Amino acid sequence: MRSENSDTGEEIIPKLSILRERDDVVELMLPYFGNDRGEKSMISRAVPVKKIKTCDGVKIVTTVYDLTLANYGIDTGLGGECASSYEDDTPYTPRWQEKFTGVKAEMVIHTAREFADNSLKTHGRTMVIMGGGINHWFHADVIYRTILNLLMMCGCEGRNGGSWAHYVGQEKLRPIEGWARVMTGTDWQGGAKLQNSTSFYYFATDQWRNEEIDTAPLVSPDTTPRYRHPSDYNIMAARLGWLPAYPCFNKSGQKIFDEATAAGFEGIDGIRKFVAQSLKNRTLEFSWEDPDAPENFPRNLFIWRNNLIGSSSKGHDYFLKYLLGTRNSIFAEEESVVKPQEIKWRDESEISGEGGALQGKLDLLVDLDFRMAASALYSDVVLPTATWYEKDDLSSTDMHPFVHPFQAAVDLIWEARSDWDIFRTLAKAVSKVATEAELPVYKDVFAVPIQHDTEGETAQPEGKILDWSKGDCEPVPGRKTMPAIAMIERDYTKLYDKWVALGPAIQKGNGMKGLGWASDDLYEEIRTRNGVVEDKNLISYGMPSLYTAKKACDAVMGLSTTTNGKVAVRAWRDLERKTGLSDLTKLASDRESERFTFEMVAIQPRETITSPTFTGSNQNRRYSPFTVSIEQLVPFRTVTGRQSFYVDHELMFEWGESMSVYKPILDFKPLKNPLGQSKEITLKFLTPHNKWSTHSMYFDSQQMLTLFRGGQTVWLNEKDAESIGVRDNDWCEVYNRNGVVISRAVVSPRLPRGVMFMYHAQDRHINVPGSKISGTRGGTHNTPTRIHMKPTHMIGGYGQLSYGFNYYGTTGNQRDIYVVVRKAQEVDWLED
Amino acid sequence: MKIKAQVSMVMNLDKCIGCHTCSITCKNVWTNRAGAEYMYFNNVETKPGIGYPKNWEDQERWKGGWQVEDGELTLRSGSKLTRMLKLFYHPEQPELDDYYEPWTYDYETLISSPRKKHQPVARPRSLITQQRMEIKWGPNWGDDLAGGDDARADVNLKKIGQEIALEFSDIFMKYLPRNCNHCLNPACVAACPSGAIYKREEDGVVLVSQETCRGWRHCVPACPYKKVYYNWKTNKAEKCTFCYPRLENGLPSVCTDTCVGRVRYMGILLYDMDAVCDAAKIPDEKMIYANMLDLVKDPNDPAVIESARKSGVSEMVLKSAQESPVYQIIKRWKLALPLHPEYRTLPMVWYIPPLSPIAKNFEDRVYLPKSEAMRIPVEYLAALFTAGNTRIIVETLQRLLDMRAVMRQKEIGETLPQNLEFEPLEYERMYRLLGIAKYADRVKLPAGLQGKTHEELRELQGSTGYACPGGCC
Repeated sequence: MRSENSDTGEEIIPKLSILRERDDVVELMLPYFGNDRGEKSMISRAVPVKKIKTCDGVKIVTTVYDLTLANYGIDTGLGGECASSYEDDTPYTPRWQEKFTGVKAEMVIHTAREFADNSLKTHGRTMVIMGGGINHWFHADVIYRTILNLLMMCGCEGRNGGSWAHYVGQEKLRPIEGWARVMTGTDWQGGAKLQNSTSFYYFATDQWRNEEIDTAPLVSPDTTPRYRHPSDYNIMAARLGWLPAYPCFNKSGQKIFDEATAAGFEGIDGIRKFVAQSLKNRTLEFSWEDPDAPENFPRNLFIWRNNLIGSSSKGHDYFLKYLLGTRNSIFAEEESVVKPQEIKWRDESEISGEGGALQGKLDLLVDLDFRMAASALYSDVVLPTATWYEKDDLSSTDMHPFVHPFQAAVDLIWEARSDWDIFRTLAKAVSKVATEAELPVYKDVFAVPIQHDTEGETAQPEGKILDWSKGDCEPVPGRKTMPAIAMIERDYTKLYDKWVALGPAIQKGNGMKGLGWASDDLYEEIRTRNGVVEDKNLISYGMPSLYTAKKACDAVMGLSTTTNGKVAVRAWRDLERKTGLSDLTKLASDRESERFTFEMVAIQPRETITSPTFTGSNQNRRYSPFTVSIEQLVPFRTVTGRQSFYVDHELMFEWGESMSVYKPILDFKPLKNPLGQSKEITLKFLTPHNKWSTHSMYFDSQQMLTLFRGGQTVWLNEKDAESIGVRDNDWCEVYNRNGVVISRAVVSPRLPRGVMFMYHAQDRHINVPGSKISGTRGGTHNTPTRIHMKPTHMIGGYGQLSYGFNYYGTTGNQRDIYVVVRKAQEVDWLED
Repeated sequence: MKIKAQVSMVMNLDKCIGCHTCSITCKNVWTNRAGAEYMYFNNVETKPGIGYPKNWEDQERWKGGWQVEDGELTLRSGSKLTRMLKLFYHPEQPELDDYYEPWTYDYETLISSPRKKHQPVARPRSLITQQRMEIKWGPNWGDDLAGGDDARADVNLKKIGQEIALEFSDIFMKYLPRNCNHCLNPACVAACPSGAIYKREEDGVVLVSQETCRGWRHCVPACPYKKVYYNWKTNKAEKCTFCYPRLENGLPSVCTDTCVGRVRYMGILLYDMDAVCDAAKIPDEKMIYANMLDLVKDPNDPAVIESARKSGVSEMVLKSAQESPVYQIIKRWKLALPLHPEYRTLPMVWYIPPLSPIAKNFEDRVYLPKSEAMRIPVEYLAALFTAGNTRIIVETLQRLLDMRAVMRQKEIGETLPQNLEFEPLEYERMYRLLGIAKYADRVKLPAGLQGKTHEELRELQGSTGYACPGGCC
């Protein structure tokens, strides 16, 4: 990342703009989405260009800076359509934005000046704290890029006190390298099938059958979308190795193996060839190409550490209808506006019979929980588990680089066990049954998507989409034109043996983010610390024990860069090798002798060791993202190695998003035919975090419910409420095509008109009556929502646009939703 | 001059995020008993709002606190005679619905529901009558401006003629955590016919003796903050104790200890007991705050120290008073104000008024606007904290703004504001205490029950506590 010629060492001063050196000015047509609904247009901008002779003839080039200025409509003196002042109502001026946001132009100018001025005076110490809310809009990626642009332009990224403070979730699981091995069982062998859950549930709960999106009005005005139905893009993503799509195929792994062997294909290379060929000639299909075929159903689901049904299920009633086959409130006549091309459509009559999707795809739902909330209410089996104060565990989060312990402060009550002990018990039971049933070793053939931080990032260069199923190229597995094909053996009789030990594969090395290091000595250290498996009948005899949660925690911390200084130094050394930079190990060498243990963090939470697995240094300072790239010149993990204003993937062009642009929210009608009958109002429906129960945990506690209104509430503006005759604390029915909620109204001036809040994680098992509209009990905050999938989130095999578990994939966006609200006429508690 | 020690609390409202952790931890410790379900010794109110119990600030309705009649302080709830006449019918006695009817749920339905057509649900049930109930009010019904008309009914808005306001465009809101103020001139103590409520000699904590209380309930209406409650099972009055068993061990109250926003400060103030009465009865209520500041004495002044020693203030307490964070905030920097000084009880819980959300107008082309340009109207804050004296609010907010300006100048070298009241170093001290102070800096309390011998302490051990119905504890 040094600005120098790596051969000569000569300094390079890159041109930000070629305005002065331009050979010509060209008119560039850029996509514009700010007109009234459905009316797309292009805007014309003037851009300075240079003419460069290449072996393919003369090409015109410009800089991303010049493109960015043109995109924002800044007058660079070249003429064309641009803003002469902030007051012009042309795209991207402060005046222009006022009509969309309601924020006064003067306020925008004032804030922007302060933002820039402060950045200048403090060298970039201006910060944007971004919550998860942005992620929940359909155009989340464009919104993100808009904000990142602001920070990049003011030099705020990678600055302590400035930059992008990302307040979202679990992605900074600090002791990740050890955790990843134990979590996926890859301490024994590869073969974990890790899935981006938005796509999974979209197909598993058949939300694709009820899709309201037609992509045609959403893509760039000068483009015809390659598909009209979003699900088709996800099928393409699975096919090209962009995203995982489990269960993989319409045949089991063993069956594929048997067929391959019978056809004379030997070894892993043979299997790969066989799978590619079978896919091409359609004798093998991806399971998502026919989600309603019984052989493609997900059958068993374990819910653990969340409330999937009562809280996280975006499109709650689709979960009830298709996954569980139980009473729901979806409006039956609502079906997709366009039919998918890549998915087999089965009519309702076909899927409603015995064993059909409408009977519920799952055979078994198991919930580990300590509350009788919706997930437990709808489960076949509830395994009573430990609360946070009854078990040993680790916790580490996004915003501060510490590892904290959970410790059992009180004994478990009744039959409850910790999660760790429950899964160990299950492993033992499975092994026992497998042995009794004399289950043979299962040869599993499956697909793995092209991974982030691997050579796969260059698998599909220049962002060109070549679809082998359309004859653009041949299907070549393994970081090329389709997913990799893997084959492993699963011996269920040995599940328990493996479960209780740290597997020997660790001895061969460990790694993360494309870096690797030796870990045989770490394995030995864990063996000494944890003790060994003493049962001679187990294949894991003599290996380091993971019998208890504490031992597992100690293994995880012994193997991770952030919690074992020795490992951190090794990882930095490998990064030095990869980047050619010297002196990176200094970021962790002062803490090389530290090795966290559970006992240590139990005494006091420990600050983690600076690691290349994360982007910031917290060596004698606070953690802030990207400081390592800015200060040490470690390349960003992008196509260019730098931060990007411009993304040149074909799908980005299709959606008009090569640069950050304005895209309106989706505004589908809540229901084709609103019920009418009584006074109603249509409102935008948002589900932000409740201040007391971020995702699920406290909703049903008597004390916490007493602190507000004793059950579900929806918030709306007083004038909106008045217009439908709703007063504070009245029962309201809130509905759209996805289902019906009945809830108490909170009438407040705090909300603008046209918006309804239903705070997140308001489950339906407390104080929720029935709805006259649906004839059943009212839903959750996620009843009116559903999953919308955006194709640009599916791109793979191209630099930063590559799949990484829990990092990348379709976001579960559910915000672009409208509901109809009315006063409930009658309240029936449906005690039958 | 007679110097006594008072445990005092400061809450920095800029840092209160309205999480109610204080209320919950307090409830878990003190009021999760039968007869006390409806009580919140500590609660948090969204302002504007009518709070808990409903409209407690409306003294025209509740007649709480003191008034000055013919130059003398009298309880608004009436003379001893009129109060006795109200023994069996007391119109100013709040009822359960003014607080709320506590409830629980039929959780068992969820566990043992038979196979049913519709998903089972846990419905509410009254903790008082054990009957099914419809939830119509709660202890925090107006959280985050829920129920606009309730917010508008805030008497402080009426006082400043803004009861119609509260449109989305100019809306404002803040949180007000409240516990007993452990007043220097407590109305509850004065109203008690049995002498059951007393202000502790050694630290000024106001307590109800559970042995002496006869359940007359005069304290309930007399307290203008409605922070004395009546336990309907034991028939005794109960109130916030400032967690005195913790104080005696040098620990702060539970609400302070568990505060997520680190809003609360606790420490010792030395005050002149002889001047209390005069301070409270000054005719102009706008002057009460100034009088309260005068009552608080410099713990390093030799005359004050001498007087304190004479009246039995121990060396440990003196040392604590000299290190007191609340003294710095209240007296030295004049950043904290009493809640409704016009009630004349001289409350000892003080509040730093909030600046944020900071700007009202984008026209203020400066990082830190003038205090008058804040989004929360100065008049509203004055109605809460200075009996309507807006000048004091403006000055207080300006000190907070100046602190920010000084710290900003230190970072980026902008010019210092003109007419600073203190030396820059003083603002840095202010910043350290308000911005980054650790637990031990925010809380300075002497350990040990001052003035008692070991023998006496042993006798006291376990000698008191709340009664439970049926005498279980």
